[in-house]
Amino acid sequence: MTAPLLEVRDLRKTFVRGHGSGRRVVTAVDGVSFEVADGETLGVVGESGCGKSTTAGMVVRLIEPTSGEIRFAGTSLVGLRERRLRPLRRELQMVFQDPQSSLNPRQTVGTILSAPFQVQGVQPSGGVLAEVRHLMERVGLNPEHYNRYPHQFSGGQRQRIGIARAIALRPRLVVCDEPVSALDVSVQAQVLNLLAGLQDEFGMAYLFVAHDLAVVRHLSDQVVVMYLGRVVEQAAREELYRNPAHPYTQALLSAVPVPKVPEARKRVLLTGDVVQDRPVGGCAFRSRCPRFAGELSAGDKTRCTEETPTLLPLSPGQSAACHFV
Amino acid sequence: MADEPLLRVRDLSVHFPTPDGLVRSVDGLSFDVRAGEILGVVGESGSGKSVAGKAILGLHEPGQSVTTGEIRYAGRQVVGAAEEELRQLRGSEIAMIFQDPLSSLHPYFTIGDQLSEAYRVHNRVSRKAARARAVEMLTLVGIPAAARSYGAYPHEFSGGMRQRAMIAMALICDPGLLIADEPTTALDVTVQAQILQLIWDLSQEFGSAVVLITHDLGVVAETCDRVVVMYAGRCLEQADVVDLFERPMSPYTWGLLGSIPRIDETRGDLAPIAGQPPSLIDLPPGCSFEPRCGFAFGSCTSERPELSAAGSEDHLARCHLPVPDRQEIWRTQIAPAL
Repeated sequence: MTAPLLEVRDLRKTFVRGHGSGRRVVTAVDGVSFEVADGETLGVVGESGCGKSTTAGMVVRLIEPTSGEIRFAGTSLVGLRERRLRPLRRELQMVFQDPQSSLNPRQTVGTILSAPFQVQGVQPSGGVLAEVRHLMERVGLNPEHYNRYPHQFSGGQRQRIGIARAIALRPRLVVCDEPVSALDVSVQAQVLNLLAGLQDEFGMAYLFVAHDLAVVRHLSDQVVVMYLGRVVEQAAREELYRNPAHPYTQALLSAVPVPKVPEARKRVLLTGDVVQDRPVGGCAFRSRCPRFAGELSAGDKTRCTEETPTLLPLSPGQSAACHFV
Repeated sequence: MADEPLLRVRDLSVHFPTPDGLVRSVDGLSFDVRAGEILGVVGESGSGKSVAGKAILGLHEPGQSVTTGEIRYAGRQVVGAAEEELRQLRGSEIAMIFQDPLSSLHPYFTIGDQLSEAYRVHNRVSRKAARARAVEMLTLVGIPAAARSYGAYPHEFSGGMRQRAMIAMALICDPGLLIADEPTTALDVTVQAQILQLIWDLSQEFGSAVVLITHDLGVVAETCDRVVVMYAGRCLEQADVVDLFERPMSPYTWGLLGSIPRIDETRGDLAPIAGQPPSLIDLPPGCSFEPRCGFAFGSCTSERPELSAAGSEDHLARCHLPVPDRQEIWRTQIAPAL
């Protein structure tokens, strides 16, 4: 069996907030493990504060993990020095949520898109200029706009620039952190089709982080659902969306409004919201869990309160972290 | 005419003069809201949906914008009304909640004080009575330990709780109409479901009509009775929610439906709308959607289509294509691909 392109093991990140007596440690990511195979898309989905963006940041080493292991194409990234990391960046790229703040406003598109070639010392066969124009065309931008600045483009076009920069050197993995959440639906669909088309053409893998479950379903082969820093469920796409196992995944999926005429849909309404009532120890979801509030016996509940559930396989290709699935 | 709708908007335009030219944010918008119904106003950024919502409350500064047309609430004209009259209307008759509750709540005052004040502005009651009413409202919107939460400051609440507090404040004077401008856009999806449920329950309980402004067709499908689809300042389609999703009659609505990835099924390629919305300063002379429309023909470029009946009396669309042609296109080309 071949090794996965990206392998993340027991990744953890804590941030220290405040100081003196107000000092407290926030665990943003708490023991996350997953793999991304060559040419595949792994969707990471969850609500605010679940640690999905922190995880993405650690994979590209914009955030230093507190502990854990990240192996990319056989090389361990954690603790790797910048000098050794740089050649790997050709293979490992990122697309950010907000193209406005991830593009230098004082550089032209041409300069922005030539940078990867200069930084990595890559000389494309037809020259950098020709390659950049080709890239612009490929992502649906007019190559004549080479000398324009980011502010002269619309939000959707700016996201195309960000994507063009990420794929310039034909990376093997592109980490996308909420790449379409700032866009209107009609433009969002254009960008989603672009991402899918580029993957078909170049065969790269995506680590696709988003809060929108429908968008994740559309693009992903495998899906990881996170809640308060931990993976609560992981499965192949159809498994996850057709037979969600974890009570959180079930509630999450049933909460998404569907754009079609409503038949009576059974909705699992969760109470409370994520950050305010994070319980200590045991299962982090129990404060909002409909099963914990309802059907479970007192003895079962003790287990939820005391024992943190680990991600266990339910069937080939589907695992969930719940004592009672 | 049998009975006048609660809110009647006719040929509403809100234009903003800027150094670059006149921005036609809302341009000839007409719709009705009947008592007790939930009307969805859906559109993408810049479609004019929020500008129209604010116009209903007379919130546009006269010096910076030009509002024309008719907005009649229970027989009273809002456009051009004196500030004093508007002030009476706002809060007591028509209330509004916004996307970001943190910036609509005052950070220095407690949630309870802000609620009580909202009540006392329109009702001559004692502080004590206002306080009791505020606690009652906080309980009603599902804020736990309402008496204790009364003394909390906005920053102590989570996003979902703040939006609940805003809803409590909006409904405290029992208004006939609630305008909710993207009330759940800043919230997580599980909290969004709670808030939409709350708005729906309360509109039933209080009998308030709701204008729900949103970009999310899913929210519209699950919450609204009728829908207005806006594009570049104009209404391109309005219909009963069932008609809109089962028999949409505007190519723009088709484009929106083709653009949305679905949670309930795995779709193949999305069918996005090509290009971008037009500049509101330099609108196309004909149909505003014509440059992006896959079905445009001769007169679409030169003549602005009128909002006209499409299929049923209650179903209106702004499109030059003959109705039978659109029905045929929807049935044979659009619906099968969704």
